[in-house]
Amino acid sequence: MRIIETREEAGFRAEVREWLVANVPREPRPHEGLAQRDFDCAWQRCQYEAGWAGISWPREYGGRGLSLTEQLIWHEEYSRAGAPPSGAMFIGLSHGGPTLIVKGSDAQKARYLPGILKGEEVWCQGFSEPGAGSDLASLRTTAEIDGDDLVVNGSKIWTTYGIFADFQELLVRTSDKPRHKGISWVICDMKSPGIEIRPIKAMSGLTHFCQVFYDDVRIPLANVVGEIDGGWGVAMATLGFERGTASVAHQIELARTMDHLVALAREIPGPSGESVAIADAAIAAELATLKAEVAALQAMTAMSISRNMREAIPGAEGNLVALQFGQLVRRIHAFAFTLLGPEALERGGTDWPLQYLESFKWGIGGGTLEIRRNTIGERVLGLPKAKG
Amino acid sequence: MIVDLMPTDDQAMIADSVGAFFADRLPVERFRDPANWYGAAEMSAWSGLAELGIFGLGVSAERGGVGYAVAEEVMVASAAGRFLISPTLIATMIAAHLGDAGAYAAGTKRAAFANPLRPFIGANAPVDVHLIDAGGADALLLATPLGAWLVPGSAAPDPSPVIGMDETVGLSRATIAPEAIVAPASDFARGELLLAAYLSGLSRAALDMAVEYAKVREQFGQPIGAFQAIKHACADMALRTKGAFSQTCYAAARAGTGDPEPGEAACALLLAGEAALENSRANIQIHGGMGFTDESPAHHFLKRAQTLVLLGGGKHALQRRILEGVA
Repeated sequence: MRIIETREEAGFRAEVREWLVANVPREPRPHEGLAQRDFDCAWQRCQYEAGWAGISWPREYGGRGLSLTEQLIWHEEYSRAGAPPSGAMFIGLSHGGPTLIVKGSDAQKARYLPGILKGEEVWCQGFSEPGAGSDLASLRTTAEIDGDDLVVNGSKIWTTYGIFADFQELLVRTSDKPRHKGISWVICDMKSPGIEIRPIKAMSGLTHFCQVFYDDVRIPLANVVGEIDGGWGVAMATLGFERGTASVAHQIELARTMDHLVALAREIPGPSGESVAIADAAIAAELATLKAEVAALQAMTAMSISRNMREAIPGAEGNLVALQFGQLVRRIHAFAFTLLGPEALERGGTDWPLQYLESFKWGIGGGTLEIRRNTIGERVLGLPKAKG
Repeated sequence: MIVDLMPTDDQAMIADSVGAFFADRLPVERFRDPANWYGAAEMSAWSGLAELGIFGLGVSAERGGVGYAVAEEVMVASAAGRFLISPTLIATMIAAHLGDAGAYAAGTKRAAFANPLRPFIGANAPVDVHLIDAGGADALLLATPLGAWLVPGSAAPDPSPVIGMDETVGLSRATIAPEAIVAPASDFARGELLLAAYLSGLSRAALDMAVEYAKVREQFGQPIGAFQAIKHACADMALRTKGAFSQTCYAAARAGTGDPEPGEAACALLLAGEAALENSRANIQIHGGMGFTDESPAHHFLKRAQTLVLLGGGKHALQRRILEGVA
């Protein structure tokens, strides 16, 4: 354990900070819809034109070709500057793009990576199905080989930004081999004939995700990433990236939410009615504990990244960070609700009610808290699987 | 600020050699023989510990130490927690920074913790304390939320032994006279970090013990670790350990830079204390009936955790300290 930021890296940090302060969009980000997609693409384009897109992506595809350290510095400064979430660009930047970099062909990289970095093409995910959630390997959307194409039939669900996306990272069953041995990872053009998309309204009232239906959708075989039937390994790499440096941005955002909560407790009256909330011992104790847990979340991530710098492929340990994040984001927003009292029931005033409702997604999407505990138990601690 | 939280080669070497020494000379099984309680086994190994360079590890070479930083001391304290080494080892490591560095480093002087029995509000009245494994100690480390003082062993005359809940530590009551508490207090940040490391190590050992048992104990025709009720409890233990140790390493790495944010070490100690308590409780539960026996070492982890979380003022003092750091 030691400080490793070099003079050059500190210089890079200063440069990043200066640019972000001058360029972070000042207008608020739209909550949903096409306006939100356009906002996210424009902001990505702005970063690309100034040379800040894809810090650690290869130069030949429009990236900067720098190390994970610079990428991390970028994410830290990005969040610190209050820059908007990558939103519609998230799957391309943090899932599809990094997966193509390690598993895609040269032709695939050349075709798709620049479009992501330039904010021209939006990606979405097609992993989960109505009948295949936590048990992803039981997925049943089929793809039969017909000439130079795959013909896809079935349905995918929880596809965030599905209605606005140009491409999809799609897991399909390409053979009768059991479970994860017969799955392929393909790039699906969302404008293909035979695709129908139905938006799903979430409990928060927002409509981020959809269900996608495939009726004889033809996808060129050239769009298969990795080998036919070799998609499970590609998908595991994808999910590893999800828990990589990009999660740093979410964490710094959570740390800022925590600071806002402490500031709020210094302003609003406490239960006695005579002093501010933070003067109440029970409230102060909970705030301090949550603050320590946020610190641990960030330290755990720093530990994971330190490990990744030596071992390149993110391992199952990332589930510990995701478990901590999923639990903590809910605890913080639930406590905010307690602190605010009746004020918290009014939507449209503060952002707290919406964020409280949204906080539930973190312990479900990308792996439920329960599945993450299974993975930690089996792949980090080496405990046996249950007999079927 | 980018920090590398994985151990450097030197840090890994320190952890390995100290861990090997503890495993060889001071395994947890030593508690089966009461002759080894009260730090007696550690006293017999004291010169060996000094030869390893443990006590002067973070002290500069000019002052008679090895010249490493608090990050290296954290590796030692974490290993000490795994083997439930007497807290006098941690007290002596801290004392080397506050007093006669050469003598502590050489193993010829030894310090022990003195923990106030009531909230410490200042040194203008006699302070009633618990002494921990202090028999024959040259100095006492009075650890309080207001800071730490190193006082001579003679400052707490005629301690009266009491029977501790943790039967393996020697607990006694004593009173420190106010005139003994003269030097200005040093802050307890190093103590917070070393105690956090110890308690993280303790929580790790409880986790390891639970996981090993869950792999071999069979019920309903399979190892109990295959059941989610046990598996998830183990995953939660792993998370607590990881969070506490990561924060301890982070705070230790930044402590050397001169601009640590206030409360970082307090966060580490708060989390490590909870991790140690919760993991040692979960370890007892996962061991079922055996966990409730005196024969299983599971209870030693709980008892030691309960003793150590009180040092430096305890949970509520730490929570106050964390919020003080927030503007």
